[in-house]
Amino acid sequence: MLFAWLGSTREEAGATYEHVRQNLINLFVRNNCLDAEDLADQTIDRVIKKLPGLTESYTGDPALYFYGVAKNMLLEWRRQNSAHSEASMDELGSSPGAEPDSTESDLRFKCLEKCLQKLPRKNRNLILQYYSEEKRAKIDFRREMARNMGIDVINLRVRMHRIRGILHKCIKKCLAESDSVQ
Amino acid sequence: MKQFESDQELIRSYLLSDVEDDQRRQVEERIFTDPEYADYVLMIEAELYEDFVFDVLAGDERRKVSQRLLLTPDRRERVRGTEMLRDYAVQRAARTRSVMDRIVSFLQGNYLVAGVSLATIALVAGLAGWWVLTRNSLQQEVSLLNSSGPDGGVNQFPDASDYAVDIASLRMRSDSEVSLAKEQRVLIPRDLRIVQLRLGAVADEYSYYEVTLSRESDVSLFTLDHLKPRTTADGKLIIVRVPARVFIPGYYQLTLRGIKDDRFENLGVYAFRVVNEN
Repeated sequence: MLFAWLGSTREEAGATYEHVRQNLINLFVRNNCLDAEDLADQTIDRVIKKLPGLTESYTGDPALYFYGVAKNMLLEWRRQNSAHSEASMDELGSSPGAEPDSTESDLRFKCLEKCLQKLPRKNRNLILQYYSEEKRAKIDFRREMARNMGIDVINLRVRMHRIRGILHKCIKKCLAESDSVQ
Repeated sequence: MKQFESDQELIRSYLLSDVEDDQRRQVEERIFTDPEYADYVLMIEAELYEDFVFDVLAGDERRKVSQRLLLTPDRRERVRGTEMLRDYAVQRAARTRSVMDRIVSFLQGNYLVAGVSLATIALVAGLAGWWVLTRNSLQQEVSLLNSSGPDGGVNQFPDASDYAVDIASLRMRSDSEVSLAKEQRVLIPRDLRIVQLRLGAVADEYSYYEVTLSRESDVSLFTLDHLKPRTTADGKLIIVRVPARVFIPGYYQLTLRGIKDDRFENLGVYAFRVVNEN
């Protein structure tokens, strides 16, 4: 029933479902919810429960309905977790997080190297070049890079975004595989 | 994603929780209804982590990223990934620069002598290669020039248009002290194609002959074998056809060997000096 509501074909419905779920996770993450995936799945479950009457009465974009339910979930989560949330923020302070131990760092580094090797040579060189200049120099350097490639800076940024996405997924998978081996 | 560029500041503010409720709703609704816009927001988010890692954010923005953006493990994970990638890329760039610096210092600094030596070796090797190639190509050309004939034989019917040079004085091996005054001088006119060297005083007792032409006595230009003497009005002659361009002014030697029953016998040297027209 959910898939029929999300799209006219199975493929279309599948793509919409993935898009909605990922946006729900991102929404909860951006609102500092620690269990974002769980909250996203709870949101979807709530929508599924309402579906029998909903498909006839609701006329807008289904994705916006999920968004509406997610906002209510968020309010509930904030009420339930306000004390815990405050404590978490205090614990974390202004630091981006505790430093990982050396074994974990080594593992991450190995995964990064492995995933960089998996990239096509052109993309690998591109991203390493993109990240090679420190601080302010990188802004001018990237402008220069884009000019040399004959593209706009925005196109270069989009290209980097794609490569970064592939790399991030690969590293996540590599770390998960390492965890399952240990 | 160019179409969303005007929203960049709004999205950055949204990500830093620095917007009014209606602006927040506007951004979030668009994220849910437009996959491309959602992707653009992800890109701006990743760039925000990047700016944090590269320490290019203004003080206030940096504080907001620390306090509002990096509160979940997932986001801290992203920042760590970016830091690691930056460190890897910066280290690799430094290694590359270091290798380049070493090469430059090798060429400019203490290793100058070694560099010059290497360059000299390369030059000598190049010249040697060029000489071998040239010699081989001349050898082939001369072999072709001297292999024509209706019966497939060798040295039988040299072209009548050849410029003929009779080289009569055969200097025997024991006659090495012959003075340069006695040396035959040969003038090769310009714009010739083929020079025909006609070697006289040849005995008819060998199955065939072999000649080697050398310049300045130590640079071998080519060797021709299976030559047979030709009977002319001047007697028995060995005729060798050579491209005229070979004869730059200088001292030349044609070494003659006779072969009989698979035995070689050095018969002597025809010496001559090629001189300029003037």
